[in-house]
Amino acid sequence: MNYVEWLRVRRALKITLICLGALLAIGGVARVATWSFWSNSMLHISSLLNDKDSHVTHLVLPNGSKETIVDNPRERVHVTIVDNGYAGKHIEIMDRSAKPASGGIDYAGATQVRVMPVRGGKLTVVDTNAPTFVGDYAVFGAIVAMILATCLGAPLARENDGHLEIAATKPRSREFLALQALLTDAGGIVLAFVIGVAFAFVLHAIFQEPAVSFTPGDGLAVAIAVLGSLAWYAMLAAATASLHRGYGTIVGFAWPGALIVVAVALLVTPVNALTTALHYVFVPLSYLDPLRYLNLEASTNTGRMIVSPHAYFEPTMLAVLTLVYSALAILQWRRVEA
Amino acid sequence: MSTIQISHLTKRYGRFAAVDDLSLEIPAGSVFGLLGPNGAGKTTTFKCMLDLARPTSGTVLYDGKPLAPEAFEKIAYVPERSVLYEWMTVAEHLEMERRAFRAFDTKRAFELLAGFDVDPRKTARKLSKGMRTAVMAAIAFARNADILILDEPTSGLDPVNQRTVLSLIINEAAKGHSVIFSSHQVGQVERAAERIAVMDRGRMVLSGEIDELKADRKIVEGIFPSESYALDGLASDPRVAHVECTERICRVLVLSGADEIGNALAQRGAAGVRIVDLNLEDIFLYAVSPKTADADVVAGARQ
Amino acid sequence: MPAVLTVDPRSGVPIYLQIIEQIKRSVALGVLQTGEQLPTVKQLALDLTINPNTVAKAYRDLEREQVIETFAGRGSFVRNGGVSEAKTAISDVAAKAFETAVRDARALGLSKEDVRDLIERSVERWFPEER
Repeated sequence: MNYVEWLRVRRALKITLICLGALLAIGGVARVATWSFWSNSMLHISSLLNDKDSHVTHLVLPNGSKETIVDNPRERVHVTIVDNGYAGKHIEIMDRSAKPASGGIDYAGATQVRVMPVRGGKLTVVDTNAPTFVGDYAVFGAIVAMILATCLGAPLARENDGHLEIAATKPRSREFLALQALLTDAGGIVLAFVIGVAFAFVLHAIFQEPAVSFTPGDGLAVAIAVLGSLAWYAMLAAATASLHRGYGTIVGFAWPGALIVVAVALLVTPVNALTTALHYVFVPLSYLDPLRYLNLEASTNTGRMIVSPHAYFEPTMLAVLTLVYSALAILQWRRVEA
Repeated sequence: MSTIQISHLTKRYGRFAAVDDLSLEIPAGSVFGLLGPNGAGKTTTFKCMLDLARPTSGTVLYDGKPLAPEAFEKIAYVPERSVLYEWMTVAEHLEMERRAFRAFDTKRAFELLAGFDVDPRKTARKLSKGMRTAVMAAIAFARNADILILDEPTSGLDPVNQRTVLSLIINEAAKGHSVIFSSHQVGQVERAAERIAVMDRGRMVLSGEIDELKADRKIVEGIFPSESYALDGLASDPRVAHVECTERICRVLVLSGADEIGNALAQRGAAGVRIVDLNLEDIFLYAVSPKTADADVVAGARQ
Repeated sequence: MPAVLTVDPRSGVPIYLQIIEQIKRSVALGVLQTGEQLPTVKQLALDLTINPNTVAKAYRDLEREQVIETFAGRGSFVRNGGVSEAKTAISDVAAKAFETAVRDARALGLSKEDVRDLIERSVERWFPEER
């Protein structure tokens, strides 16, 4: 591990933690401020509880959960609320006055609302403990990791900028020293991803009761998020490895540049000479662009983001890009002069 | 312990030759001074010695072998400009050195820093130029290295700290380590070094043992009673490096054989012949800027 | 063992010769007694802030001229008989200085009588008690 690079990573992570911590604090305050509002605001339950015509019964179930039964003959609504504490709430609302409605499932974060037409009315079942997929958190983790990857993005150039005399006169080969720096930063990026995921979960848990679940699709999402950040970092490192100055500009232009490459590759169709030329230049170019592989397609079935159908193509390509760009960076650094 | 052999070292940047066909031998355990005006190629020479720059041609060999990364364990380097990380504290720099080099003596480094009056908790950004030099020097002398390569190790330091660095160099020499250092302070080189080389515009113009140079190189001055005198043949004598004459006085810089040249002057009619000793500063000036040197000797300028 | 040595690195005279001359002078004048130990090479180098090999060279020459002797592991000491060696050496230096002075005086145009006068006056000045 490279001590100097590790100090850099530590500094960046500290700032990240402070920013995220501030966001969490804001979230916590918001949660406390809206405590009662969240608990029972849905679906007019609170107004029912206070209605003079409602019969309200409270029970404690054998497993410790609290059950509340509300029966309002005037509204012809029967509500059963089972509060399982952190395991969420299960609410059944039987509305005999409602017209037969079509069924459906809706999600609001970890809250799942199922509407089912049954004989005699409309049954609405609300579960506040619907599964939340790690893949969703991975999106936020990816954002944090990408930010860190960009901040750490020109490790070798930073040494070239006036520190080679101290960095390259160590009793190890240039290749080893460069690899050390890259690996240290990679560790930091992975750590940033984990912190991002943890943060997203905690923030979510402040407001809802997520039941975290992990499926193979989530595994792919995590892999793409992590490898994507690493590939992005490695690309920046390779682009700047020979520079002494001006690497900040390259890192700054990398984002818009990479986005433009992906946009042109995906959106420009070859209809005339110009667009054909653009197409045949930018499409191959886009294969070298890590952002191209951060594909997330929404599925309408379950209401959550899933990974695109080319399941293993993206993570593999990202891994290859990471290795190739890292090698390019290391090879360049062998020949840099003070 | 290594003998360092530089053979026909040339380093070009584009068409500009920063170092031009330099050949030097630095025996193991000696103190070697590298002198020269700014831009003479001293720093570039050091970089080529340390694999921080690749020679255009020529070689630098340590005990007959090119520099391998493991050798850095035993080589300490103080660069000319500050290479510290602005955002790290001095103590963090020491920790970095401790992790990189097995023989780094952290305790000694802190002692040296205290001697230089540097607060290890300060970030490098907050240090003056002299303090940065002091930090790099403290690190180098705490390394227990066999070879120390110091590029202007006293630049920016006040006279007291300069003396400290000089004493540290002499300490290393007493331990049998090699020290190669460049300095604009000729007096320092005069004290600490046994051998020197003078570079000018990339080329070596002079090298040798200081004691030999002082013993051999003299100014032979002849005062002539009449204005007409001839120095035929004298300038072509291989031992004569430089001749400066006015109507009555002639000064000849000789590389050896001062007595004989003195006699030669007397034979050509000089009434008063005297032989002037040269110190290292004189020798250096004559090597790179004879006009300045002459003016100094004429005016008797000597500090 | 105080080292009553000062060297001028800026002088045109090589430092090791200055050390040799000063030690000889010290021995001849009795400042350094027979059997007295000289500073170690390292110590003298540090005290004077000069290269240790220069000191070592001076000590070697002094040993060759039999003014001092060096015992491995113990140090360097003023040799028995070193005093007379030193005195001889010092008078050599004085003799050379005289030669140079007379030569220069002659080159300046002084006559033999002028030169003798000068010498006489100097003797009077520096040996006042001897009449």
